[in-house]
Amino acid sequence: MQCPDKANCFEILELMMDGEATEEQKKSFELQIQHCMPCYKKYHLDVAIKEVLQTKLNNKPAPVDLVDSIKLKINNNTI
Amino acid sequence: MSDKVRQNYTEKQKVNVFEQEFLPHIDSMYNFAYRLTFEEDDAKDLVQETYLKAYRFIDSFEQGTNAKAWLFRILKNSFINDFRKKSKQPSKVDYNEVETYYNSEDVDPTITTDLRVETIQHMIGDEVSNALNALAVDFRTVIILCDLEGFTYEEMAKILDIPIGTVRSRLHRARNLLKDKLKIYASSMGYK
Ligand SMILES: [Zn+2]
Repeated sequence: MQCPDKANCFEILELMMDGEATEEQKKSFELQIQHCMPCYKKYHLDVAIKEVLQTKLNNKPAPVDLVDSIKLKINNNTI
Repeated sequence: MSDKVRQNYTEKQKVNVFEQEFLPHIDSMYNFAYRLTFEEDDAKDLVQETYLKAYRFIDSFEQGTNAKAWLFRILKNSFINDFRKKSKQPSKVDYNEVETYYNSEDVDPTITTDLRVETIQHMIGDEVSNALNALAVDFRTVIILCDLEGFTYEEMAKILDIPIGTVRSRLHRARNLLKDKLKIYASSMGYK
């Protein structure tokens, strides 16, 4: 099955995923894209990648001495 | 983020803004810096420089507005102006951004594996992280800002000093490139 309007589909999917879709676009997503299998599959994959980026990447805390060192520099410069 | 209104903070207010509104973002700032530089020492320097600049220009920050975006913008500019010059990272990518917008599916026809949702979900953090780090810095940056830090398109446009349309096209391209890296990785690991 081919998507009738790939460019438009992808655009709305990306807006949905990033929480940037307008009400109108949300409606068109529900009406049209949910029934467009090729695009819906792609959407699931994109969402999965976004979720993995959000949940699996290691976040390091800033080094403990960094804040002190910044404050020290500011105090030295302002006094 | 605009500098149309200059504040006139007392020393005490400056310290207050700095501690209440700027410092709470230090972990995000450090992670952003580390993902740009790949070096702990460079990341520390970059964050420190950013906070010193933020303090110096604190009068152009309006209390209660979006401190995180304001700080990220300073960090990004410091990185471009001071760090990128020194580092060996290639700084320019070939953008044909507008033309390739939404036409860039099937970027590499040699990659035939269809990446599956389950494959992605089974990857560990380091694998995903390597794929992200393999992207050119401008593409890596939009993914970090949008997907990791949750900035809106509008905030990203301000942080990066580019129009929203460019944010979207760059993000779209970045995601396709990331997907390709993940595909290559998945097929090299024998994932199906
Ligand atoms: Zn479609």
